[in-house]
Amino acid sequence: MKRHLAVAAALWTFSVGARAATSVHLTVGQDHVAVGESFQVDVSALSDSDDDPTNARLHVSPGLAVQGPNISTSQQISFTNGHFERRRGIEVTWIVTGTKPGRFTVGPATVDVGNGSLQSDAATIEVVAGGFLQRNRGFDPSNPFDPFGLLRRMPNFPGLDDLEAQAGGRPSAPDEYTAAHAADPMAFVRATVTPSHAVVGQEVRLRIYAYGSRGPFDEINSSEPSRADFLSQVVVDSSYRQPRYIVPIDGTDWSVVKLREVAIFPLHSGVLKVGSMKVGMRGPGYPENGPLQGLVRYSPELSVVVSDPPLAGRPPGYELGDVGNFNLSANVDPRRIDAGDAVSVKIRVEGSGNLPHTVKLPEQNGVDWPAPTTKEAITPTSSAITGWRDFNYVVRIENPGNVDLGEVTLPFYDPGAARYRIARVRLGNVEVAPSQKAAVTPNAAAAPSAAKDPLDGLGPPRKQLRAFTTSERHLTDTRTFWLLVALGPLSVLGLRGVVELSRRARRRFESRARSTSTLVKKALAEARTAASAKDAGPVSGAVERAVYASVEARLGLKGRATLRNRLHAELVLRGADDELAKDIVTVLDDCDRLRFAEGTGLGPNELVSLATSVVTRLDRARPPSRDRAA
Amino acid sequence: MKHLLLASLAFLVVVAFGAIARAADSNEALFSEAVGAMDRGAIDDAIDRFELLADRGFSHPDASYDRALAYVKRAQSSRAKAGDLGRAAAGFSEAVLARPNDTDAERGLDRVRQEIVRRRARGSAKDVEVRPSLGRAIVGVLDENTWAWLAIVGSVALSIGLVLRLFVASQRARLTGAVAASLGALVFFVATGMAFAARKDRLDYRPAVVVVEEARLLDDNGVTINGPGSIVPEGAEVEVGERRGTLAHVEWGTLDGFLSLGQLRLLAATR
Repeated sequence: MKRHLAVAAALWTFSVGARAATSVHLTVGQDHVAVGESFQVDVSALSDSDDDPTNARLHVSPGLAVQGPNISTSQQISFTNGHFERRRGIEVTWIVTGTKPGRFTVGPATVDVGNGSLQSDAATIEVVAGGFLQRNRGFDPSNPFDPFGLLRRMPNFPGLDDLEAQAGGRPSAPDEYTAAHAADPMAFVRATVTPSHAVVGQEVRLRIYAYGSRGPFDEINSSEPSRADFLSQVVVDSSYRQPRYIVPIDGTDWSVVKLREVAIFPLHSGVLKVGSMKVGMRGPGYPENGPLQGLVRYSPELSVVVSDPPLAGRPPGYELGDVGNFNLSANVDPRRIDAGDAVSVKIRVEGSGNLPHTVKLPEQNGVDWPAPTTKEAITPTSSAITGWRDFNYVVRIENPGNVDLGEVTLPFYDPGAARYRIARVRLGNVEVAPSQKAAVTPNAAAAPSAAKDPLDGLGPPRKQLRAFTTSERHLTDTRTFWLLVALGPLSVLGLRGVVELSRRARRRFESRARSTSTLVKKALAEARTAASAKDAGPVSGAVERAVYASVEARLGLKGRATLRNRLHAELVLRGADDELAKDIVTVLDDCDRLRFAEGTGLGPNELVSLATSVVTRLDRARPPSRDRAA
Repeated sequence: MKHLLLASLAFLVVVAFGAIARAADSNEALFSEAVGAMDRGAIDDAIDRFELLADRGFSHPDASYDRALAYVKRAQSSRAKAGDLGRAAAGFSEAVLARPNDTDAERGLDRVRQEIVRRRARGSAKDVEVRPSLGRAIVGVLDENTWAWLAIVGSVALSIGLVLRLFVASQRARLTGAVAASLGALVFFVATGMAFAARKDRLDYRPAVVVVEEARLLDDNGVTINGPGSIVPEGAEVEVGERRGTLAHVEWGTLDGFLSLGQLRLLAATR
């Protein structure tokens, strides 16, 4: 395991111009080495100005041999506290070898910026005699001078990792690096947001990790995940300085490195999306998708469910987004002034979370709080964004006396406790002595040249809530209205329809009453009545009417106009079967007999029965086809 | 057991009424505190309390009026913030919507709008004269309930006309019926349509006021619209319809487009 010992803190020089925002940071790989053993020295020089750091030099004590440097440029763009920060610079690496035992100084490193130069701090390294130190050497994929590293970069290069593992040299990866399953057999990118449910303004951590199953890899040609609905504070901006771990996933050892860690603050409620990050993974064993592309993988899109903090218990003055845990402190200076003069009030908000941009001031008549100047320092840590923001006011006090400036408050929502809190700080009193200037001011204000504000004269605020009708009742909101409006005309039209229908039904009924079948049935009914009364004359007449009408309706033959001796043939021609035709002729002949020679043919009842049978069979008879009729 | 149930029920009723009364008291108390803050010159504090009332869903024309006054006072002070006059216009508009005969609120709204125009003119900003769309203008000729009553009158006239025309044999009555039915049908269809449109407008759209110095209309793809009328000035009243995430579709006169919800203050739903 390679232990990076940050022996020299960043040296911030605020002396002049271009150098004012340039940092030079020196890091030494080990604090103890053996004679002949090499270690790595990294120097990072980043500048906010247009002048790039150049010409990096490393000073070492005699007894140390230096190889290098290896120089690469770096650029860092971050959106911090509402504005973009762009830093450019160089990353420089030397390999230093201890040639004799002793305690030696490494550094300072020097870089030129603009017309001047900057130096880092120096570090101390102890070189011990006799062989190599018993050390867990981890592979450093970023070491360009390590030939073993090159071997280890070979795909499936066996042995060394195992040896390291046997020697207990494999660093145990923190839990956050553990993946349940591999999303791809060769390489994949995993992203997490914690927590996945948050309130507006609450800090959410976005972490993105790259996993490779074919040994170490470098990040190349990456694109940042989109997060338009969030304010961002970058914690880890590249994988360059991140430790590499080996983690077992599904029985295979995977190299893993953290690519990004960003504190994101939701700007509004809803299901907010974090876009996917494109990552190029370059290394032996990882086929490239294109020149300088690396093996391209994408992180999954993520969602954060964001809601507003609860309305219940919300204190007055709470600003949406003020989420975290904060304290207030204040300093007022001086405590004695003349009326019309000003005091300096410095209010500091300190804590973790989304640092508020305003505090609630104790306004009162005669005390003027103009807009403040602000200063801040925000530090991302592995667990939370912490820092402070100062609000510097120049408060003018007009009225003499012992003026109590009151209390500054800051309502915020504490997501840990799931409740609102109010940070408070009392400003105390200021002794305000009467001033000559104060006496002059009213006269000046009363000068006729003073412009009149058109918004003056709107009247005082209303002290009472007077009664008012909450909302007008709308007729159209009731179903009754629509029913009432539609029902009148529709009911009249409906009634008219009913009347028309009934009239049509009556006509149809009358027409039906006059139809052939009705006539036939009526005639047969009359015949039956006459037969039961033994009245032969009406029986024969009614039966004849029924049969002739039925024959005409069903077969289209006018029977009365046909000679009786031709009737059978005509009936057969018209579609009646032979037996039916015979029965029809028989019925008609017997009618004649009953009328003129009673007792020679069928009796009235038999005649009615036969006629009924004939009529029934005629109902089933098919009319002749046109050809047959012709 | 029965007594125990009755006692529990009575306790719940008392607790419920107590909670309702406390909520009402708390809103009234908050209003009084806000007015007190205005009196002692703590304008920001007053605004915070009025805004908390609004967040709680408490809608009252006097609270809206006082909130507007507080924003006006802050706009006049050295602690003025961008959008204060727009928020004042929103407060006065809300008061007028809830109490249409509130002349003080109407006067306040006029003054604030004049001041916005004056300030914009000072900054060489061009204002576009915006007229309501033809459909909204016609629907707005009469109140929704008036349209509804006219629809009822039309319905009755149409019904009587139809009865005379369809059921009475007399030629004169039939002629009278035809005339009544024709006129009734005309009134019925027009008034019913207008009542329906007014209802839809009331339910689907909500008035809002622009509370930033300028709001630029966006098209369906979120791209800025250029050209005359594409910039909606502070204090302008718009109708908000469909919402897409943080964007709201607004109609501003005959123009329409999307604006960010952060640029608008939706007026309390009093209609």
